[in-house]
Amino acid sequence: MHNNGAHDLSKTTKKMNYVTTVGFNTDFGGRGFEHPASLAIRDDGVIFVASRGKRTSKQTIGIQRVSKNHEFFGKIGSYGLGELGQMVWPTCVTLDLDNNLFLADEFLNRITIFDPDGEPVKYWGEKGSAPGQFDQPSGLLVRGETILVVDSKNNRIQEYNLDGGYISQWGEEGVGPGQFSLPWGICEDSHGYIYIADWRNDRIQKFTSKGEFVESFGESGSSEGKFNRPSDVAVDTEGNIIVTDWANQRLQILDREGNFLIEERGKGGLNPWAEEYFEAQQDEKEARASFVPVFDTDVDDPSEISARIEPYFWDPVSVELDSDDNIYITESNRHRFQVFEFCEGN
Amino acid sequence: MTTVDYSKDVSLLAHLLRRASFGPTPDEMDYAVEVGYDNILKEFLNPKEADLVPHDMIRRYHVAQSDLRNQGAAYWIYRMLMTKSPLREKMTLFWHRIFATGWAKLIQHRPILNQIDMFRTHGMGKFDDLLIELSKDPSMIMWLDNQDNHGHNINENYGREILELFSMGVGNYTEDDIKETARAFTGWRVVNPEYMSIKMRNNTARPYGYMSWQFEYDDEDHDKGLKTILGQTGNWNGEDAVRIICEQEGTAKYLARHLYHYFVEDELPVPQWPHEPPRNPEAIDLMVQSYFDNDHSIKAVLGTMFTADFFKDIPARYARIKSPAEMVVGALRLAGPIELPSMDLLAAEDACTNMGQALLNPPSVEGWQGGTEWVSTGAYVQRVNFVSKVLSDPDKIGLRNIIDKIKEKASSSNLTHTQLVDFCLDILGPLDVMDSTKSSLNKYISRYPDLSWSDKSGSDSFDEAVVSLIQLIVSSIEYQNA
Amino acid sequence: MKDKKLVVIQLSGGNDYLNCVIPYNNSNYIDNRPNVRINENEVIPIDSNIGLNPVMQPMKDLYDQNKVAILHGVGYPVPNRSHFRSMDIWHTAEPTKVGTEGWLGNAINQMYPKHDNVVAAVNFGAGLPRALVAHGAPVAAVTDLDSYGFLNHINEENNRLDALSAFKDMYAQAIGTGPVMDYLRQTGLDALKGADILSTVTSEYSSDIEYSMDNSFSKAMKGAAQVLQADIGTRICYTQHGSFDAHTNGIALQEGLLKHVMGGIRDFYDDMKAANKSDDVIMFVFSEFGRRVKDNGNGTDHGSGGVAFVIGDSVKGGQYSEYPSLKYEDLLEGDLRFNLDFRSVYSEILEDWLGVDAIPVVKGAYEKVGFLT
Repeated sequence: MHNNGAHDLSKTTKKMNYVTTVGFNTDFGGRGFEHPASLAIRDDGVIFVASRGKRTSKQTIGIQRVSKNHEFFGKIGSYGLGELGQMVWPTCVTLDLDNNLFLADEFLNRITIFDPDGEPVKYWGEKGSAPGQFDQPSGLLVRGETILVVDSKNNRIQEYNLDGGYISQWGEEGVGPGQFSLPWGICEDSHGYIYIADWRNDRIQKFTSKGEFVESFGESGSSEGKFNRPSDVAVDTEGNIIVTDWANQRLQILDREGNFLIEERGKGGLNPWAEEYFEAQQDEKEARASFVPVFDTDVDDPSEISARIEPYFWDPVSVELDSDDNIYITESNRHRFQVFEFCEGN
Repeated sequence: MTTVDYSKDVSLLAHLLRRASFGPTPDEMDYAVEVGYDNILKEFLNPKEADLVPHDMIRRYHVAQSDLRNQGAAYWIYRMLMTKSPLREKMTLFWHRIFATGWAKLIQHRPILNQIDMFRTHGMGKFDDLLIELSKDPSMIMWLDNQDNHGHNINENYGREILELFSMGVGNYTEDDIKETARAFTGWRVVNPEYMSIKMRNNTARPYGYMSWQFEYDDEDHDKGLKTILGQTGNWNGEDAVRIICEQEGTAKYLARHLYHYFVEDELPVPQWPHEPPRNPEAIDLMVQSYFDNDHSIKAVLGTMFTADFFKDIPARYARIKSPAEMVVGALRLAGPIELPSMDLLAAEDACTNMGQALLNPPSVEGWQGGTEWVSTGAYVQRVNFVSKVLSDPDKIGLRNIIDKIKEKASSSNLTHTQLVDFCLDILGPLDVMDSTKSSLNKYISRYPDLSWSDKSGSDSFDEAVVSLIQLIVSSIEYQNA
Repeated sequence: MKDKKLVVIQLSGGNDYLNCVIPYNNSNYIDNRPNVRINENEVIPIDSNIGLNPVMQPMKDLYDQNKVAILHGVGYPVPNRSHFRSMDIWHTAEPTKVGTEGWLGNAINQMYPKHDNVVAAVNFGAGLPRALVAHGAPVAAVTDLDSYGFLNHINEENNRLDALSAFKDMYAQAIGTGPVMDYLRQTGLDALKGADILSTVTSEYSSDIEYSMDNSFSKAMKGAAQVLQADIGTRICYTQHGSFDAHTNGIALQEGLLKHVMGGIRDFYDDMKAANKSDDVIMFVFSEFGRRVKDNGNGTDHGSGGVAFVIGDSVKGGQYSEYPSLKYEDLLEGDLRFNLDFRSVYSEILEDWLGVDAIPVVKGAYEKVGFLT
């Protein structure tokens, strides 16, 4: 038996405070997500969530617009094999300073730009390994007038101007400093350092704004400070490094030196969308009333544990911060994101 | 017997690979010839380690399979395609046919794949352990309603099926044994049974996706009274029921007959077994003896079977009709490994379904009967079309390998038509075909007048000739059999 | 009854009964459907209480000619709200245990016990729905009539013809090697024969009817018309459309699909009429369940009790059974209570249309409904 809920709080005086869960599983479009891949938060509180969906639920594929307060503003983009505004396997969304939205698609191997009204404007990219081509792009990071694209299967980072004009690239396949194995998420801190979730190397790498290797955090494992396929990274205003430790099905926070501070498995709960659903399903509502998550399991596989325990993160694929350093964790397999704050307290 | 003249017999090795694996690939065959019959069998029976499946790659890039809510058959087919321990995978299919559990009722695939994992772990172990794990398996509990089997009010569904379908078959127990066995399994249920049941019944992933089930024993819901099961009286719980069941001659016979049906020769449909003797009673007796001599070890019974003359002898060759899973996986293995993510796996899942074996969704608790039931006109078209299509691209790794090997065998850079037919039949098995089939193949291949590959265009045309011929060979009557 | 033919149209995913055949002035309908409701002024009324969805005018026209039997409240005891299980129940006519044999597969085996009609049933779609599966029952699964048959992945026509002729050669010559090989050989030859028969169908078909819609359902219905007009012996055609599983986006999703279904049904009917064969064919339209009475905000969830239709010149048009009560106290866990067992419908189709014994199929005697003339 394993108790997966224990936290070691000895290393920090701060704690994780659960705020809310936004989302709902929908297969046929409408309010909710299916297999959300990433989210981006606009200054006015509108949150853009890219739903990857699947072949039997194409109506849900697109970018849902919601708020932390459970408002739903409809979807932009749609499933499709290549016209402007269409997508197949969205992996990441992000915003520039003018609130244009950038979307990476690892099936179409392209980046699509939507204007602030949600209208698709242009796209660039095709499959390949030459400059300007992609092999399954994943993470995106806008830095002023340029955008960095994590070109996952080419194991490199490409830099473009915001019109899609190629500027430069760095990185190669490998396990050494500055090398990658199927990198995924990317972010920068307030000093302009870049952090990349080097997924299959089980580490977070830190680079200068020019792509020079600075240091690396973590190694393969499931104990504190170790990673199993980290998917994404964010850095808060204090410099704490927040990582969705994907295959360990947890969030980890390290301090700026990389020392472990805290971990979180998730506390997802019902929200107004779910409550409204249960109001229409009296039989489920009654049965749900006696439902108690059981945290002791008889297996070791974190994915199976998360499959059994609904409040836990299940395939946390992205982590983002809002302007107040609230932490948003997108969970592909629970079709929702959870919001936490990392704050003083005990 | 000290002489091992059979050990390098390619026809016999191909026969073993059709049964204990998914039909030989050229590389598998080369290896088998190198190590010999007994050694390859030993490896099959004693898989060293778990197959390395890149779960991280599947879950990251095949997002629709990351929760295994569906596309579970595609995932399983991928494991069968890539396995280095084919007999272990074949045994998971074997148990799935008998302990047939289906998502049409359970809705999500994940718990059934957990059951298949359990077959991987226990499928060649002690039969008692397997039945205990099966009785604790959440998808089996939900499938046969044991979450409704209460101490004060039994639901006898599982009690019935463990005797009728999972261990000894009709005729070896009474209706009272069913009730008493059901009582022994009261309190064996899943966590949160009420909500899990209603989510299943309403077929709903809302609000936040499905939840995988977990076994729980509720001692308070267990009937602690005396029970008499198959003549033994005591304060039995589920483990005791399994122990008593596994001691029975009827259990050993039923298990042996199933193994014989699956690995040696198509038997009659299972519902007729109580009324008709086995095709080969001596073979069954030998396997029953092995079961009791080896502490109910399934591996031991398999070993006895695969080393016995009744398995090796000519009459057993091609005496089974391939199941759809064998057709599909066999063709995929010939075509070579698949890079993830791949739509090919979804096509393979659909193909099994269209041929009449929807994996993880058996037609009933009785599973699939096999034999001639695999073949109808509709299914026949699907069998031929899927397999020939999978083998239509000479640039697939497996086919390229086949073509290269054929070229290596030739003394110069060309072949005669009859040579090519013989080489292809050889490399796909060897596959023994009727004379009439061979003459049809010879006639067909004459449409390619020149079978030389000294230059690029000749080489392309040779490739085309080989894959055309292979497509026709796998469409033959003989290829339908294992 | 050798000339009587059945076309089964399966609306997969759970067609919302309440917004298909609409109790438009029932206050319980109005109260329970604040968001997912068809307004009275849009409904096509068929009487003072009940009307059809606005996209169902083609069916209304046939209804006015007494060609449509509306079967209210169709279902079975202890409803199951899983798509898959409920569909299975409809396919095997076994509501309590997991059934083994399809209701139509059984019927085919009764009609052709020697399995000598190799095209007795045709499913338009890949693979076979369980309804058509029974041991030995010959059924063709056709995704595209023009390319149906063996080795259809070979694009180049001459290559395929050569391969097919070699295939025929192999099968025709393989004689006398034991019962299993004989069975395989015979099944292979039967499938070839079926493919040959079906391959003539499109070339021989001519019709003035233009199928008005370009979708998979319309294509399937046209295929059914081609097969049935060719008189090759096909008795049952089967097709499905969906998914009607409108948990969200309720009205638009259902209406889009119903529009396809209406177009296909109407064109098929006209096509058979023009070919002078409409007396001999009925269409049976069903779904695995209706949907929950109360809407969930912008869609509806799985329910029980649904509506079915039987359509054709040999049908006595009108409404059968009654619209189940929508009153809260009459509902079963929020769903309509069925008042017409689907096995009654099956029994009538099996015995009075296809001329086979219903009891072994539905495992009992069920009172017939009386929709056939």
